[in-house]
Amino acid sequence: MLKEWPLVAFTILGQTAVGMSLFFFLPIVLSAELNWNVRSREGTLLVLGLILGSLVIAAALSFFHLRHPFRARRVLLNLRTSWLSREIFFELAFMGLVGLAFVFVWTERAGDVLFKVDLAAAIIAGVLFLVSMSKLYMLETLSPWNSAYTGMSFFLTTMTLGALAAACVGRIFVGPRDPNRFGYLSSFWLVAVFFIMANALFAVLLTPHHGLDRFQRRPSLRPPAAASRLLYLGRLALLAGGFVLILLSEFVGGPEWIAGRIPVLCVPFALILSSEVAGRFLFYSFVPRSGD
Amino acid sequence: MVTQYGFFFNSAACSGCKACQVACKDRNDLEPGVIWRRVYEVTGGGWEKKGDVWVPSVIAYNISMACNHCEKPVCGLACPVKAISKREDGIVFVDTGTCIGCRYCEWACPYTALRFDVRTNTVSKCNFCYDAIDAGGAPACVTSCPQRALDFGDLAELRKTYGDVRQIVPLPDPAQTEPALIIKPHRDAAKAAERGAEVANWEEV
Repeated sequence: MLKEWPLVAFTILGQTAVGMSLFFFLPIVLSAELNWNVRSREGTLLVLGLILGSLVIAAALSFFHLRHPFRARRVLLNLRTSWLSREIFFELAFMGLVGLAFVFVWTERAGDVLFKVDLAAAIIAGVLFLVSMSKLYMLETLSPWNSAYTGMSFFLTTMTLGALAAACVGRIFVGPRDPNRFGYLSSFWLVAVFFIMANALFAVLLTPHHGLDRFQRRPSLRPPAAASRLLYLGRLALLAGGFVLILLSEFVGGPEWIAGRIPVLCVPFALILSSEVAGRFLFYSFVPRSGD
Repeated sequence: MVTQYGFFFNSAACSGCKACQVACKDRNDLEPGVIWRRVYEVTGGGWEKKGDVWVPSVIAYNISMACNHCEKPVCGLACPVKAISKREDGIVFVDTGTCIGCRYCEWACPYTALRFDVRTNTVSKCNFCYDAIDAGGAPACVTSCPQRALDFGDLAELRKTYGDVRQIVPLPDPAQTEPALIIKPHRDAAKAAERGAEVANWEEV
């Protein structure tokens, strides 16, 4: 299970990037009177840089999963039938379009319309990246993963970490509650709280082997899963901890020992991120590899 | 000309001696832990009450399983670098010189035919002893079976001779991959699902 750490890192970072792009780009694309120059060039560059950085790190870490990384240049050869090829294609497209947006803002040469079109295309590529990431595991022949659990857990990770990362960025760098400087980002903590609750409810109800909806193992040639109860409970505890700390940070201002040292939303973000990492390791343990 | 080679397996005749497994490892010089043909011991049942008497309802049979050289090879469809291809005679072949070692095909194959080989850092699997076939011979597993529980040949001919059963517990739904496999089920296989039969020798397969 721990051998799958490059895949855990790749999927979590990729999904966080998609989530951030949804929460950051959608308001810009849908806004009628966008003028990103007036808003905040530095703030935009920072968010685009974070998304791009996440994607680059995700791609770099994914190479540790390959035993022959130098042959990976052929990885887009099977777009016709392989969801793995498609996933990588959409990740590269997403990365390229976010990179282009970064260049647009950096050079200040692109018009608003072109910038919006690029961001809209990036959102579409990001969503397709997320869909192909889910479809990759939801093969008909992979019965432990061929369920709503896979798609829903990937979606909830995207939305939870995306909203929380956007809120953190808004709170830390862009200026708290300043509508002209992406202040709206910092209010995404409320969205994050909603998705954390959805995540917890979903985990309690549907997690295979541990959730209330008991997983029935069908006869199979695959070895039985070694799904750790500790990981499952740890994930729930971290989700609950993150949830409580977000509420504390918003309504009380955060614990005293944190206040003034690091922005308070970062701590719950770290807890929720750890919870997602635990959940992803658990996910990969549902299908052990024969012979390992 | 053969358009689709396939295996026939007689579960009723298999004693689980694993001669096929050993012959395959020997012929292909496989590392410890890499098993292209495996023998699954399927067991289930227990005791059941009939009137006032408890009687054993135990079932047990063996399944010898390798790559089934499927007509719809999901491993090849899933491979991002097209390292898995199908020959004209239906044999599914892994090109270890192209494989990037992502091991996605291992997950995709419901028969767990693909195995990771640490020597080459690629996946590997049964190649139907294609060199022996090309020379007019037979796969090592087939020739080694003392019970004559394994046979091979043109899938269409195998169907004419042995029928068209392709699934017994715990094999997956054959519609998923269209395996080139014909099975003669053991008599216990019919009751396997209701008696909760499962593979009993996971450590070996």
